[in-house]
Amino acid sequence: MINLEPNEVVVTKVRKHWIVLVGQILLLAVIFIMPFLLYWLGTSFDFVHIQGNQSALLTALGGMWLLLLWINFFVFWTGGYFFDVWVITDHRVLYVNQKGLFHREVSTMRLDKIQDIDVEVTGILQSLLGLGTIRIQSAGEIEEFVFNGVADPDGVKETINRLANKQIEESRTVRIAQDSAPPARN
Amino acid sequence: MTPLPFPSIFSPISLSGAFAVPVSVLWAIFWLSAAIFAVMSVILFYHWETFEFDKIRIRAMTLVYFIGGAAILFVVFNAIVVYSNSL
Repeated sequence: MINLEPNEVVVTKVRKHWIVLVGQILLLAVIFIMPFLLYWLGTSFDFVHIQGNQSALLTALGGMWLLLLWINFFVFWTGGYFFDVWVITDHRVLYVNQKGLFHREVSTMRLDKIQDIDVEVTGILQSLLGLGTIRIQSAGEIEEFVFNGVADPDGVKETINRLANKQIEESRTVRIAQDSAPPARN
Repeated sequence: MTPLPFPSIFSPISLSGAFAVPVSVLWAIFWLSAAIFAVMSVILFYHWETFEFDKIRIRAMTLVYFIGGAAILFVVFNAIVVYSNSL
């Protein structure tokens, strides 16, 4: 999926905060309860009378409903969480932007082209849970990377800054070494 | 009373009478759910196998997905059998 350059090393991978998954689980839990709530209302107001073993029927229907929600959760986990990732290497930041199961965009930003990194943490919830938005601005072809709901945005910023400084330092050393080398004689 | 010239679906229905959910309908929904699970499993598995790193996490989630899905199908299968025997 991602082709690394020769000698390129993956330093870390950045994903959204786990609270994103908790939110999805809560949403699916509410959706799961809905039909049972309707059934309970139906029986309470004497609208629904079912023959046979009612708990077996509810288990069967509820189980099939749960299976669909189970699949839905894993589709979300795959498309909305796990594959939506920043891969930070010692040369670049790769942004794998997964939009659903069948649409993926991979963008690259070289570390030595990074001009500015902003971290934005808004609200009590984000402050308490330690998540936020990171915005990287670059002088390269892709001007900006934005990642919302990132866990530990300050730590990620620090890592990228450290790697970017190292990269710039290395390219400077190579340039100085090339400049100070004696001219080739014919 | 002259019957209305509409199919019975448009007739007033009584919600107070006891009814049995047809077992054939339950089995049809069960096999449809199992088919959806199988198709989605292939799609998800393809994505998980294509991803090059974090293999350990992917393996763990694959296990959870398949064990959970199979357990749900097993419980539903047995519940339908119990329900059909109770009619």
